[in-house]
Amino acid sequence: MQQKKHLRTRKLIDKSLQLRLVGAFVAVGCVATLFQVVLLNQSMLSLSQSMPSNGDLLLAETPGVLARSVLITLGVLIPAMTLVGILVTHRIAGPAYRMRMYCNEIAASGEVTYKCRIRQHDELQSMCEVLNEAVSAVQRAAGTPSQTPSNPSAKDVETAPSLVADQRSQPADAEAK
Amino acid sequence: MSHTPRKKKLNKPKLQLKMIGVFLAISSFAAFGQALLLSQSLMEVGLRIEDTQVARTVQDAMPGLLMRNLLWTALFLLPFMLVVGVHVTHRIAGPAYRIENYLRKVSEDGDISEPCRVRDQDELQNLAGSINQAFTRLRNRAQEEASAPATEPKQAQA
Repeated sequence: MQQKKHLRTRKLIDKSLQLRLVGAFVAVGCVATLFQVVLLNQSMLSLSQSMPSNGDLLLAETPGVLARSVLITLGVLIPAMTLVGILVTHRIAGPAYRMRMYCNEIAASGEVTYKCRIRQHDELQSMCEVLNEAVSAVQRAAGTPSQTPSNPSAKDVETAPSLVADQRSQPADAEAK
Repeated sequence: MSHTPRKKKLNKPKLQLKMIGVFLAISSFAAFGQALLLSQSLMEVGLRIEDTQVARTVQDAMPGLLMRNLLWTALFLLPFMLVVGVHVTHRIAGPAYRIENYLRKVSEDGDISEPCRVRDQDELQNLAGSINQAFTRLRNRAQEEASAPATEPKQAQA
């Protein structure tokens, strides 16, 4: 059965991480734009000097042309980079946030009632898998029997808070049965 | 944590290369967008020049000029973006690599005597802290449960 795709409702999951990366994306775009401007400015200068006449007209028009182009580029670039940045950083900040919440729940209750799962296309998949293994190992080493439901297909499932909540109720249901 | 430079440049190659790809795509998009806009504007300037021969000179020179500039931009941007990309992604890939290694070690022997640590300036500090708290809590709870049966009978007798 195909799982329903749940969209992330929070756009800035980890503000510090995401805004820093968005800032890096915007900075990179600005560097590329300004470098292009500097090169074209230099080229226009040499072109105007090589022209037999009307070189002054070309030189006089160049600053206005460059300023207008930079303004349009930045006007498109900054919102586009912000959107792209948020989308790209979601793939990192989302799973990191979910793993943090999972660990915080364990730290608060001292119990492991479900396995941590992250979305299929997110980054840090291997970290999530190894986190589940480590939690089980710590439980075994401490002498607490593992209560987590085995779920081999967890990685392939698009997870949402509702799914996590469903999964959390599984052991309780199993005990009731 | 010490500030020793990272030896491995690509700790998590897949993640880092994806991010570097995004950096390159953004810079290429910006550079090409800028080149297109400037090309269009300069063509308009060329049309305003009354001397047709001069106007044609400007219009003829434009494609070569833009191509040369784009080549220079690509030559400069490609290594620059690679360096920036590796540097920026280190802040995420470095601690992710370290946390994963720590978790892998814990999953092998269950030993949490050493806490998970990441560099001061790195991202994912909170995650490392939460992992340490969770493991400590699990161990403490198991110890409490282990010591509970020994104390309960005494309390019952009292």
